[in-house]
Amino acid sequence: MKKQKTEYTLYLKNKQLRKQKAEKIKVAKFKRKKNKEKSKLHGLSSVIMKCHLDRAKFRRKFYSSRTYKDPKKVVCIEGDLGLESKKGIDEFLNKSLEIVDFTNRELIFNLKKCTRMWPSALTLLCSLKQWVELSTRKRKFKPRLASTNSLCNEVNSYLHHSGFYDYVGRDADDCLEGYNNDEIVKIRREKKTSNIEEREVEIIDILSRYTKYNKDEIRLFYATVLIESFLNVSEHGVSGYDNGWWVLAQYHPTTGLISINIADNGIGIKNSLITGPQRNVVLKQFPKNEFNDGQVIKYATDIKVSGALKASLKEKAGLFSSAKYPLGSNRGNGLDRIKSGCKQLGIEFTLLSHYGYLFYDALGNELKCGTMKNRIFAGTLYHFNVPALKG
Amino acid sequence: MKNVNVGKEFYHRLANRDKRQGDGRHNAEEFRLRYFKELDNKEAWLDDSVFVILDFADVKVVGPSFANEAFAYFTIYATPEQIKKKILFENISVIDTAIIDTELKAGYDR
Repeated sequence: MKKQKTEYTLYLKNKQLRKQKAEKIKVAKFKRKKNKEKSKLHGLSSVIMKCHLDRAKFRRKFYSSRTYKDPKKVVCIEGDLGLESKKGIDEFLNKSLEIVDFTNRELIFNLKKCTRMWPSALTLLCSLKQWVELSTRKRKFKPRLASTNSLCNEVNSYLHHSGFYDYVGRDADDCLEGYNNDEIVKIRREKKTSNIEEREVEIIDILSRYTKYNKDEIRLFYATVLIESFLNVSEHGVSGYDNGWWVLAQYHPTTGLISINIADNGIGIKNSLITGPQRNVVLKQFPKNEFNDGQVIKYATDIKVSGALKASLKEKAGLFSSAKYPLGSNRGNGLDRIKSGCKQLGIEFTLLSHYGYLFYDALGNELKCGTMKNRIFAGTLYHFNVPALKG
Repeated sequence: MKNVNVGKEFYHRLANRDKRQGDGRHNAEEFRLRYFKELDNKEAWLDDSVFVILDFADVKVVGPSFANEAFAYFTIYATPEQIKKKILFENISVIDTAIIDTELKAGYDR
């Protein structure tokens, strides 16, 4: 009996020890998690830390807000679709308005009467695919995206050749051969930011082959347009299935242009600005709930306007002086550098970001700026029409 | 006085501002800390003596963000002219010079 009692006490003691040990592990795990979060934000000021947390919260909410309950929808794409032709801009905006913010369980693209899909249109469709992936990441139900073949075999073949079918995970049927791989930077799932340099070199190769630009002009394009666009998309893209940015560039011999499309699946220029350190200044000029995305995009092309976490704030005005930015390195010059690079090189530059759009012609004049009722791009697109040799 | 062959000793593509941009490697913050650490105080800018000569012969491209963070940072201590006296650029292309000058000016303009 006595023996049994001691065994029971020993059992209880061990049980308690095990419980204490488990408790300790739990506390240590929690502490480790906390420290990891802290170390991520270590060295950041309280303003930056607050922006960082606010933006993360905004992002979580933003990508989980969409429901897909409506019945199947068929979108017909007829003729040409793309920003590459001036006539096509309105058509492109209206079509994207129809598809990006869809709420259907099934979205089918009827391409039967489609005669040409320009690279910007493919980039748009990839943004839709990215959006669906991100917004349904933690859900069982995922809406179905599908497309028919076009009656024009060149369209189907190009969708395959450009990498679009691989990107969206569609099998290719009979496709024409004979496309030149030297004329294209194919769209693909970019899983490493270290690929950026490779893509830049591929684009520069196309420019060297098919434009009249001299070495200095190519260097200017590389530095101001390519590097700055890639920095923006890689910084704002949200990693999910891939890194959240993508690129498609194509030389068009008959039209004499190179279309370059660099995009991300981020929260957009306006949302970056209103969740960043400069939010109070931005919100004063552009109220949050108004349709003003186009104006905000335009404002973002001004110097020192930035949604970056380390964006500078103007120092308070003195008695005899106005408010000024601090001396030294400053964020927020990227869009201005892209814009002026394009102007110097005679490149048409378009920015689409969620609801807003901004178009510049080859001389750097503003062609169009505005805001649509729904989103026209699920993320931000930097589109360039570079003048090239006619084949 | 230091001599640095930037393309060989650092990297040929000067693009990323900090770790958060691009692939985060070879960024301007790292560059500044590696080669100009001693210049990060007021006293270092009291005279106009040359501190470093940067050879850009093997550099393929200099991005505005990199130039802004690596060089325009010092406009908190000095004017663009003073900076270009302390940091000399050799074998640099016209475009790279223009980009660095634009960023120095932007850092100094408020």
